[in-house]
Amino acid sequence: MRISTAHPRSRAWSQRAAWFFAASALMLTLALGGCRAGAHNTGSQTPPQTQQAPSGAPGASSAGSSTGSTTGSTTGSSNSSSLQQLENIDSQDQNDSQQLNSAQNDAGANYSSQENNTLP
Amino acid sequence: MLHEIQQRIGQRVRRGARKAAVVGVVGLLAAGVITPLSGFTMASSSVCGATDTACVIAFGNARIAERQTALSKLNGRVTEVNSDGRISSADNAALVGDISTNESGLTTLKGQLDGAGDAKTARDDVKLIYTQFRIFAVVLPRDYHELWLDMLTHADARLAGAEPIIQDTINGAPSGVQGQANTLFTDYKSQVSNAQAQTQAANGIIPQLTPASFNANPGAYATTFGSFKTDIQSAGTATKQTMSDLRQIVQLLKSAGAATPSA
Repeated sequence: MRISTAHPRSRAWSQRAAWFFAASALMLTLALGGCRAGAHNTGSQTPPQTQQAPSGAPGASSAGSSTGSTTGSTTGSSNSSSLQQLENIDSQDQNDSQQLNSAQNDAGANYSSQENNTLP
Repeated sequence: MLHEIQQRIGQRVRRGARKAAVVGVVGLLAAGVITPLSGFTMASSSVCGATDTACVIAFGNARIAERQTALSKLNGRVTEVNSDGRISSADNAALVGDISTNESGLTTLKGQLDGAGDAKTARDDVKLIYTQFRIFAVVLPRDYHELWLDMLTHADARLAGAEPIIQDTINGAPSGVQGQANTLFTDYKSQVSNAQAQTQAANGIIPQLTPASFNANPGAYATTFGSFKTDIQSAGTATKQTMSDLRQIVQLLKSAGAATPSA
């Protein structure tokens, strides 16, 4: 009676291949799981917070003063010029104010008292 | 008998004194009523004799000279203000034209008076100094107020024209002072607008302020002139407040360093 069996050497190679496949699958699974876990953790963080400093924080204060400085540096020259114009207008106001007071005093005089309507 | 006569004479004297006292009181009351209206009545004096024509002419010429002097002073003031650029050329022309009209009219009247042939004619000419010209009752009070009004109108136009510059300067100022500056600027614009409305109202009244309207109804004239004065005074108050607002804005922006560009 003849019993058909596989070659012992072939069986060893197939066992090795199965182990290799299983190990690879495990590695791949772990690798994929690790990537997914990392992605999840990243999602749980709030990236904008790393760029938006809360109010009162040094970063916010710095950004505020920086904005002010930027406004000043870009428009400072023209703003200085327009403020100078306002000072000139204010100076003119002071001059006008004195003249207006004089005009008011002139208008307030009692001219009517001199109209005595007397016939000789 | 003699005693009775003395008593009757004494009674008559006392009655006469009472009558005189009553007449005196009535006279005083009448004077009290008339005095406040002295600008609207024609009083006679005993400066000249009834037929003293030369005296009446001299009296009239003296009154004309007083008015010419007052008009000349007003003209000098208008010229000065116009030279300083504080009123428009149109307003200057209106005032100078009115002064000139009155001056030439009085000069003509003086010539007419000088040629008067009798005291009555001369007195009629003197009367015209008051009724036709009313330099002290109408012209000077009106024109001096008008000069003030014209100056306010000119100043208000200048202040209104400065609004874009003020807004630009506030916009370029540090954000910390912009709120306060804008509050002042809001009041500034409101005061300018109010002043311009008042000056416009006052200008609309001027045509009613004439010697003819004074003669027609002195009481109504006084009321109208009162409105004219009130409008101008209100405009003056608003204009001063506008100037005060601007001064505060300038000081605020200067203290905030708006004029100093950063490096």
